[in-house]
Amino acid sequence: MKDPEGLSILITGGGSGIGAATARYFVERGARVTICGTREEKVRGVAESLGERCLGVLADVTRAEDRQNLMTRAVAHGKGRLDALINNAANMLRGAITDLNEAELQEVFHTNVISGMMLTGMAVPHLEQTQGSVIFLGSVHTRRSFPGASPYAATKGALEALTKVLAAELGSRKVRVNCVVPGAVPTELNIRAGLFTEEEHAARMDAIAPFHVLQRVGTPEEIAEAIDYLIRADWTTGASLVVDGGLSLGLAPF
Amino acid sequence: MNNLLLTGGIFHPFDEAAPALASLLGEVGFTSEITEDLESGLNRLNRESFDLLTVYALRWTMQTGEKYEPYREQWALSLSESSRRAVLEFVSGGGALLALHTALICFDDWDDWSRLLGAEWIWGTSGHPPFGLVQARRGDVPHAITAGVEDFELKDEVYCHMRLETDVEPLFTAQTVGQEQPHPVLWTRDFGSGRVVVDALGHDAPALQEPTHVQLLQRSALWATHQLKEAS
Repeated sequence: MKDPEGLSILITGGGSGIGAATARYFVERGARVTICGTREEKVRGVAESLGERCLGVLADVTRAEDRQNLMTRAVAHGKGRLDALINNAANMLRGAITDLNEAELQEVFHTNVISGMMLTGMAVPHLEQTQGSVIFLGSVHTRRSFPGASPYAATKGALEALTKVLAAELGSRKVRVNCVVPGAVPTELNIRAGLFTEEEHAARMDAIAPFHVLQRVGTPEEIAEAIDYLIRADWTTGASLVVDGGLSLGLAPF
Repeated sequence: MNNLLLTGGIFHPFDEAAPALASLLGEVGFTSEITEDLESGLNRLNRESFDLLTVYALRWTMQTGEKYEPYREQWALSLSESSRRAVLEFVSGGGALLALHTALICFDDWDDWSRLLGAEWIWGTSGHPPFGLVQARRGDVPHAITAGVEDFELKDEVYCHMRLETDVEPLFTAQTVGQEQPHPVLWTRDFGSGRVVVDALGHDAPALQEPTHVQLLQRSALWATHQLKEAS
């Protein structure tokens, strides 16, 4: 297994939540990390707090020119190499199936799925050189059903399907593709989407904690550890690693 | 081996020095195409056409400094996005980059250039004593480029007080006679699959043609293009 020291890692998103924690995790272990996002203050704040090994790029991953610039900057920041692409950027969209807005649905698929596919394509020539890997962030939404969350769940299901087919497609080029499937992790995702206030979000996290076999929600750092494993696991590809405190096991009430 | 040699700029005799550089690299198998048109040159840069990119030019945005005002119209340059990408892709994909002397001052509005070189010219801080007698000393780091090479003297300019990345290990340092401290003048970088050599010396043709310097320049080009055996 590779040591994170000296690895060059591109994380889409990274201004908060799992992306920011993953950036910190790898920078602390000697990697060179590029993060991106559209919220300038957030991206800059994280990048500056992590020092010169972290580069923050203002980029909207749904825009082709931003993706091109992001990839170029990330490879340059990584001293000409890229060892891992972590497709983490995502938006939350909820809504009853009877009420969905087509434009909003397209937008969430663009952010959560299409941008990651396009970036993965751009990363392959670089990852081929380093025998690197791609990580997608799935979700417990593909294992447990949350009524009203079909848009988000559908995007995350797409990423798990992509993980398998891209692992098969890129295996001969020695590029691995894996997916981390987190359980409930307190992040800004739902708050940012305007769905819940911070208080409501905290209450929901409290409410869902007992449904985890381990009786608590996860932390962004625990997801970063799983990503680290998959980046370094030379014989693992096409895998979905469920890191959810047992939420997807479906704890029986008695 | 094909070399794209980008040159041109103010206050340096590039017209004479660039052909001198091409000639000494020619002795070890490099055919150089010399151009002052950086954008058009970089537009043609790819690994099928070139093995080595040499930047021996003085082109930057020239946004400050009254003394540069008369030259701005002809020489000020902010390299295009496509040219920047061409350089990064060429080197990260396995191409070689030789950055000489004024290359360290080039492309001041392009962060990744200083990352490629491992050094950044800071206006107001970086500088050099007047052109004069310079003593160059081999550093302690063993390297194929400098194996068996002795200290030497030449007339040149020594760039000082640049911001160097922490992992720069000088293969040679130099100081102008009368200067108190030596300054790094030769180092290498890995960038993706490519190799970079930075030589901060070489103000004019005679500085390039000093016999030991010739040897270092030739070995640098050979090492960057993976044609020189590693030091044991």
